[in-house]
Amino acid sequence: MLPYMDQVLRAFYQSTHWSTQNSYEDITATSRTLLDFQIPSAIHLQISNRSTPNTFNSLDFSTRLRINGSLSYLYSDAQQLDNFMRNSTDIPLQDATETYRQLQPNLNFYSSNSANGLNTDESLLENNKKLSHDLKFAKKSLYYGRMYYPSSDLEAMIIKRLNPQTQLMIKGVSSFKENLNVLTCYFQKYSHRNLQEWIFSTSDLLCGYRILHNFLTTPSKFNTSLYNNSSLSLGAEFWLGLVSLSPGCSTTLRYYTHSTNTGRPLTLTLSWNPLFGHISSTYSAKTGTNSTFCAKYDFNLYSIESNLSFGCEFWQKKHHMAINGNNNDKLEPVSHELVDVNPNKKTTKLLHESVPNLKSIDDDHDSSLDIPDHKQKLLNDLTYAFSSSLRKIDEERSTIEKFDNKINSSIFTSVWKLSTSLRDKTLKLLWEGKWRGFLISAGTELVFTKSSQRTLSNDEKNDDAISISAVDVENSNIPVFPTKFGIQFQYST
Amino acid sequence: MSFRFNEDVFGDNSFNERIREKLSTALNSPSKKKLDILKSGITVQKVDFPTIPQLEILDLDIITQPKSLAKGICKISCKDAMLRIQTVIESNLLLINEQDTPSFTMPRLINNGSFTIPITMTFSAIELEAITNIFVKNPGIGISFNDVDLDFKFDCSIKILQSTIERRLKESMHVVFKDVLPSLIFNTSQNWFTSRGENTSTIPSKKEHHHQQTTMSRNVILDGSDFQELSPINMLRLSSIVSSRSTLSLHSTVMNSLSAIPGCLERQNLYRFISRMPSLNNYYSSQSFAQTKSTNVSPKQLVKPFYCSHNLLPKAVLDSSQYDLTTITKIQSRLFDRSNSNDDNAKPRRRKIKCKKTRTPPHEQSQEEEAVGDTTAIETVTLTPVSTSVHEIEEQSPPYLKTTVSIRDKYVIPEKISLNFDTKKDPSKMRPLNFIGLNSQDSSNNWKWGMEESPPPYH
Repeated sequence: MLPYMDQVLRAFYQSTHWSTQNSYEDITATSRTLLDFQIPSAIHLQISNRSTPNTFNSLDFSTRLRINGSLSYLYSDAQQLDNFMRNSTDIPLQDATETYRQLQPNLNFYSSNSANGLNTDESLLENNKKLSHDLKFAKKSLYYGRMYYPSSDLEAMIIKRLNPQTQLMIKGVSSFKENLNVLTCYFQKYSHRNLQEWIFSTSDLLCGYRILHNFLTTPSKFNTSLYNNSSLSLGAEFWLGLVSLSPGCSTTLRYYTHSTNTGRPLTLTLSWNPLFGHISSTYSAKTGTNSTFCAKYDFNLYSIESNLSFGCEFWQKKHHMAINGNNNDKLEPVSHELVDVNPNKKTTKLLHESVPNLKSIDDDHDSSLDIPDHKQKLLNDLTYAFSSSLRKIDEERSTIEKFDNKINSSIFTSVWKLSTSLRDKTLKLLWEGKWRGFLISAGTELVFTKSSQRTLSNDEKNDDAISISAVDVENSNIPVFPTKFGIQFQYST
Repeated sequence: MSFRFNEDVFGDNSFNERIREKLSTALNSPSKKKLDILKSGITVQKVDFPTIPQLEILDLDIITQPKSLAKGICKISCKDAMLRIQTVIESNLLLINEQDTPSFTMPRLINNGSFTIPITMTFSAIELEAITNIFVKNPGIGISFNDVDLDFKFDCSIKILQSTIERRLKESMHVVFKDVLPSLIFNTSQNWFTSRGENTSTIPSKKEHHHQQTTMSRNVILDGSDFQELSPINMLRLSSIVSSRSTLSLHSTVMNSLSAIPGCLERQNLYRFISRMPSLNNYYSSQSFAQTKSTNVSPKQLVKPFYCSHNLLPKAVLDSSQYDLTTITKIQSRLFDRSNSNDDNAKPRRRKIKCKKTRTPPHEQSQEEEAVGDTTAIETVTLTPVSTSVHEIEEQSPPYLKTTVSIRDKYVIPEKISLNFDTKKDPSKMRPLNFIGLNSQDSSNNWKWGMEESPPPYH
């Protein structure tokens, strides 16, 4: 489950029109959420509250050996945050948890298109909204603080939108006990097609730069292209720890598209770390409204080590909400409110939406222009020739839309998440669901052991986990034992 | 005291094997905080000491301080040794950094996986030459490496790291010899001292091995009870060794030298030392002696005040009224200066009593000469009558003679003699002046006779 403060953060991004999907950090977000999902390691309770439209606070308890807790406050001067925030009773499950990320390939398509004047009414509307937002851009900011007790560690975060294209984020941790003070600054700049980030962290004096570039073709090309519902992104990051002089870099290619027949989204990523020779490729697909699959293959060029991971999600829905079947020309979202809540997921604004409507073109031709007959005939032929392909696009679009709408309109009650890795010989199991206004996630991580050595190393990895001691493992012959399990309750009003 | 150097231990290969075991357990000890960069334990693959380490004893001192048993200077040298260790390291330093930093502030890195590399480090042609000071004390062995000359060839399986590792190793070597090895040897020797009876065969480490050879004599801990078990013949031998230090040297009989051993003041030379002290008695006895040489003064009369009342005017001087106040104050101020050598500005406080009585002033011209001429030549003259009575006085050991002289590194004339003069100088009746400061309670000023704490065995 997403922590409450992360939901607020997401709402802040939405209200300030800052896209998170263009960050290089999240380029592999889909496979990460499907494979490396977080499993609670204790009994955890989170009570959250929106005290005023601009302030949020949250209280956490967790019992691991003794009771730990944290208290967090958040203040943001962003407007209409409450439009994007839901309490735990109302929030759809697919918004409350990390799941398959559906991308919007044409995020800045409208703004580039507006100059051409080739846009439908709806996109114009959208565009105007965006433009107006850019015009009356206000420097919104977010302040977040969290105090842990009894360890009295402090976390703080400030996010400030400097101008429509830039954002500054400062994160800090201060721990008295471990004598640790870390401050990390992010400066993010969003330009037409790419997002650049400059990062500096005081731990190890780490400096970093990362960039994500979206390959977008011009709108005219999109009009002739049939399968324009895809996006291709290339990103890279460069790091250097100045104290230890430890470098790091990686580059990643992401391709996101929809299946033409079924309209189901799929994501492919290929990332490469040139320094250490890691190559990792993922393939994630939403195979149906209630299932998602992901496979990841890691390979190291230098050590010839490899790993195969596999993850899947199964959603259980309560009932299917009946939606009106007219998803032709007018792309009307199911409910405007829902769109506002999460445009990432709700309606994929596809590129070919900007394709001129066939009827309207015909109307335009008929009414305004006086063209000779032979020309008109040619034009009609042409129109007919193109219209078939355009209709085809519409059909595809409609299937995609249909599928999306189907997902969005479904009310899911719970989801099972499974993930396994061949080399680590682990199986992660997580159940997340809603029950009487509570968001509950319960999970465990199982380790298949052949020798006690591996379990030892695994125990060391997640030292937070409640684990069986190695001596017991040596004595018992059980090949499977849990390294961690836990349950988490979230309630927010 | 004797010891054996058992070469056979180095002869066969078992010694190398034992070092290998000890080294690998020490390197993988769970008490040590495991470094993040190490992804596996450290295995010592090969240890080879082809030649017997040489141990040259340059100096050996058996009893220097109460609880120490032996003190020596040794030269340790070994050649052509070889050591090879292997481990697995994490080469992705950013990953280690990521694990150390809280995830809240750590930016997420894509494809930042772990990449482990096995590394083999070979130290070949190790040549060690070190001058060490060894102190064998009751609980353990203290060792300090003074002049270490270490040379080795370093070979690392990862060539890119070789120069860096080598440089860092050489930088940290002085810490090893200054800090790590001495404490290690001390701790292991402590264990060895305590658990010596159980397993004498185990040899803790290579360095330790040397010390075992040095202290091969089994009964090295000397307690009070041990002395009873010692044979009187041995004790006699020991005492003869100790006494030979003074008896062998003929310097003590030579005049004008206060001690045969630098830093020691021997008892038979005490009177000469005291005679050099500025005091009224010393001054006037020599003076009066010179003057009254013709008169019949018995040696007893001269000697008695010499020892019994140090800072008194001799009776003859007083009677003949040969003293003068300026000389007395000069001597007093000299004494005061010696006692207050730390602060030069302190002036002696004198109480002046003016007496109406008129006295004939003493002969000044002669005093001037004599004050300067406080030479040893005069002392030698005074010595001759003294010599008979010295032992008598010594055996009596008058209570005010409980002066103690400590052994210093160099011979130091005691500086802190504070004298409080009873300055009520009644001309008619001069009170005896007392040494007060000599029995000072201050421990730092405590003068000790060389063997007073541990009485010399020839008594």
